Amino acid sequence: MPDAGHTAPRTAPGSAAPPSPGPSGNTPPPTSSRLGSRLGFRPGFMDELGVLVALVVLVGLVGLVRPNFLHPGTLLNLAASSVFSGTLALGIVFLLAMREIDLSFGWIFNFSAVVAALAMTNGVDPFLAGFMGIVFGAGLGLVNGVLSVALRLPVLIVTLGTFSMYRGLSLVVNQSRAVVPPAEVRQAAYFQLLTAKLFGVVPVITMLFVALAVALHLLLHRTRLGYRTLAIGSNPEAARLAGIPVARTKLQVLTLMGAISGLSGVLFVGFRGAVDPNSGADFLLPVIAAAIIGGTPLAGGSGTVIGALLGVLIIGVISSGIVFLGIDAVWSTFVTGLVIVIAVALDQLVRQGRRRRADRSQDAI
Amino acid sequence: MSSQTQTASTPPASPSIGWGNRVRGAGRGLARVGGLLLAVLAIMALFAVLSDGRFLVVGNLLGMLRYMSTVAILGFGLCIVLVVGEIDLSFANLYGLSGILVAVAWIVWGWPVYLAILLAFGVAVLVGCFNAFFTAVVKIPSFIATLGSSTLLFGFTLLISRSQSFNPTYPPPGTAVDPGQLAFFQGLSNRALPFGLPMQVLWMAAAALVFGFLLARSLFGFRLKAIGGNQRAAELARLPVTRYKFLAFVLMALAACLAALLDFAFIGSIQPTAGQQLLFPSFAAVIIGGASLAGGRGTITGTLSGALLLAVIANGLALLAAGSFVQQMFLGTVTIAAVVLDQVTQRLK
Amino acid sequence: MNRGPKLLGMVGALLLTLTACGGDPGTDVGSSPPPTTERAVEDTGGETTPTSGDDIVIGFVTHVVGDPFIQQITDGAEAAADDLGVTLQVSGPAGGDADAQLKAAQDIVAAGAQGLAVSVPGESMANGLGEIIDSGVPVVQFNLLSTSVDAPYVGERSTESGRILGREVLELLGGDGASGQVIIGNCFPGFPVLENRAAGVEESLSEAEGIEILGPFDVKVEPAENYAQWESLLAANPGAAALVGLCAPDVTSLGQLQQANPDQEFVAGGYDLTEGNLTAIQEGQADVSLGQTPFMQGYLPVKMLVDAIRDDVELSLGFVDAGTEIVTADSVTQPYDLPPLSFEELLELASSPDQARDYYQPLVETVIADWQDHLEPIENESL
Repeated sequence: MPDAGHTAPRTAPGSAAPPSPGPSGNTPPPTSSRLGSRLGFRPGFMDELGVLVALVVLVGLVGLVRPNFLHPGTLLNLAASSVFSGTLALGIVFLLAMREIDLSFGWIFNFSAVVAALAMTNGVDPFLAGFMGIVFGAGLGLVNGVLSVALRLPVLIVTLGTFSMYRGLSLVVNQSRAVVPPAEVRQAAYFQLLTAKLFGVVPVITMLFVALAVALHLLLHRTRLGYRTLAIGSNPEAARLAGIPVARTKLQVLTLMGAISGLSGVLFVGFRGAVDPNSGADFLLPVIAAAIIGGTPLAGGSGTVIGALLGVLIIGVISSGIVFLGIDAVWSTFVTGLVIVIAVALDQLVRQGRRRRADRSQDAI
Repeated sequence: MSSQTQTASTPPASPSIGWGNRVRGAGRGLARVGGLLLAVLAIMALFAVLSDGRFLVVGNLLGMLRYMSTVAILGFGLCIVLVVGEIDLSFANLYGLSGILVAVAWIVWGWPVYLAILLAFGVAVLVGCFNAFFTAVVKIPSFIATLGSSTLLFGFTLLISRSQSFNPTYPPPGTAVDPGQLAFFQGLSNRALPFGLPMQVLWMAAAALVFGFLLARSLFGFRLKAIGGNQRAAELARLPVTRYKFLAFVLMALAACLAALLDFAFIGSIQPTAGQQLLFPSFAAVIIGGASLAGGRGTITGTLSGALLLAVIANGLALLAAGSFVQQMFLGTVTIAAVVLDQVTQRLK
Repeated sequence: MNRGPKLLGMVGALLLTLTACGGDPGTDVGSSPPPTTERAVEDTGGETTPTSGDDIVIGFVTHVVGDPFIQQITDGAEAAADDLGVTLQVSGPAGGDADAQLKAAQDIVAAGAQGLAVSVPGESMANGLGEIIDSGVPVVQFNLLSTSVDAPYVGERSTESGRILGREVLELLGGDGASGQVIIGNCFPGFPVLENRAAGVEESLSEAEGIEILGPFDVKVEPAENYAQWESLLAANPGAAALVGLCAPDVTSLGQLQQANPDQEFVAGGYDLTEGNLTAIQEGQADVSLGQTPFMQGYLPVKMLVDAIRDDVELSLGFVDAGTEIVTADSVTQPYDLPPLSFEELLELASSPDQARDYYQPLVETVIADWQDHLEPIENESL
């Protein structure tokens, strides 16, 4: 059971002993009380307060020096260009919460976008093609899940392999060229809708992004799937012994991640009107970084979808802010690094302060 | 107690225990790498047949060993960091910075190359401390801290290099390089050895011995695994967690600097973006070699096998002139298959 | 309880970092004169920017930063900005991702740039750039193009330059009667410009019946990987007569490879006039390298944009040939009747933006000044 091998190090020394008597199917896992309190009395957006503060401070600082940065159109466009990596970051929260990492999502994104764009080129209705792309992405995610469960390998290693495989397959399908649906197809309602702006300022794609974030937030914190995901992440062995169907949950979460990647790819085609052979290739680090900046630890057991949304915006604001401040290209990479470190340190301080207060008002575990 | 990390990988009440009894004789360490090496040998045989023996030409095999040395040396450092339960994304850009620092200090500023090399290693130590400070003291997740320091380092590289590449054999007009120093520097990687053995392979072997000893045979390594396996328990046991994290990040940085200088000495030129493509292969090598991002696990022999596997695949596919599709599919399939094979042999022990 | 001051300090540090970097114009790059970027943006920040006068800001967005060849283009653009009295703001992604580059371009325009010069490595940038053009901001493409962007392009004739390289290599092999294997390496398969070059090389080489073309193989961009790929290709084909690369790192790698294998003579050819490539040719380890006049690719777009902004010159899809430079061990052929260069002079140009500016003065006075007469249909780029 490589699962156990993979995760055992994190379990407390005591939990290596045989677990409490007869874990019948419905007994909640040992961690449930802690989890339960977290779910039940979760104080609104307090978890994300630090990230929110960092985001507001960043926007405020840039706006202070360059007031035209605060123009709603500018900020909303910034949000729109964060949608693609943002959508992926929302999804990766589920994997991190389950103490797994998916490396292949950038190429699922790419492959699904290529498939959808080719379908559109070949006369399939763009909405239907988009739906096909999402289903296709879900299928690729399912493949990841099946491989991981059947071969008993951590998702990390499976997706290290499928990373290359999906990339290779995508290169075959797009013949190493950009896929651009013909101009008349790009007049279709699908493209019009995704590039439209409500009231002339709010990009439709940004609204879709926020809606998805809310839906995934509820999925993680208000449904059985989310509860199981968190339980597995916080202690896989205990979750298994408590009767949580670990394999099934893993399949579900990976399929979800695939579908989200597909969705992101399909939105990309609609918004950008084309997909390049290496679109999505560079998403890996920024996406995981956004989730972690948002407050989802690599260690599993907790996750925040809203935090990931804020994390993506932080990354977007940093790169835009640097341009607005007129920082030269050579300095900009330097400043980006510095600001990321400081912004997260800021969040960390808020978090520690909150934790200390929480510790004082509550008994330690 | 907290060092149960390695033994914990023995599955409790696994159905495959019946298998295990049969082949109990195999040494655990050997079995650990056995599957991977088996996979490597199988793929080498495949390539030998497919390429009509061209793959097995000594020159090609030695070139392959040289090629793997960069990823392997980076992998050794990364392995240490992963074992202690952290992650480092900055080593690829530190690789570029180290090379550029030596080049700029030596060629542009006119320092002796020996001082320039010392400077590069000194900066590497600082970078390691920087990463460790933000990770272990400020408690920023290392993924973010090192992602930040990675862009920071690249920015620094751009600044001091002015986006130029450097070649000490042909210094830019108005500068000069001492021929003795040039010979010394090139000798780091280019000295003629018996059987045409590349210098870099010796460096890799030496680094493997040092890192392998540290990780597998010393108290340092034992404690590293304890900390990575269960940091809370390690803290309760009063292990010097913070100090060990500093050491781990510094070792990683030194490995990155070493790898960069050896490549620079061999290739003969360095440019600011050097190393950026090495991030993913290095992680792949270490993870294929059995390390876990969760910490507590990872071996130098595994990392070596992982790097060898990647080098064999890259070299063989280049020989066969496979298209990018075949390359990617093969790479992906073999990665998964090799790890599965590894796990199966592990269960056999 | 000491959280408050710590937090304050952190916010202060953040503030300092951002504003200090934003307001400090003294951080110039390269030996070019200090860019006036920051000051000018400061002036225009906030209100709507006037579209004439002396405070024009041009955004210059490259597909990668930290690359010596791209730096030569940027130096050309800086020279133009100096000559024309405008401010250049340079940006670009560290990793070379098209989507990140598009975002940088959009940000630069949103921050107040009145014109945008951009290399276009992906079709997915076309929509976003189209929006910028529709909003009335003139755009010029350089180095890499997308024909879906309604903006002029300054760059080389990709297929034709491949043919030239092929002919040069064939000549070195002994002309039409030559025979042997020629290995072609492409550092980034799928890039239209590179595919066009490869097609050109193959076309010229196929004129000799005895030549067997192998590849194009993927030889990677990273110098260390690039060398290793060429190393294995040579090991696999020990008798190869010529090795031909299509990207900047190839000639350097091939020179190195020739040095390591003195008993295996092969013709080495490739692209770009970086210092490493030139020195490999000078030392006789490599034979031919083509340049694509980076100075022109940087200078002309800025000039075109300033013309569009100051004199309302209309910009639409079209192509201006930047010119192909041909460098072998015994000759340096420059395009557009530029004065002849010695090898040493060429080397100095590669590393000194000021000298490059002086050398290209005739070009600035002729082709660049009358660029509208040199505008061709975009199809000519790949004819």
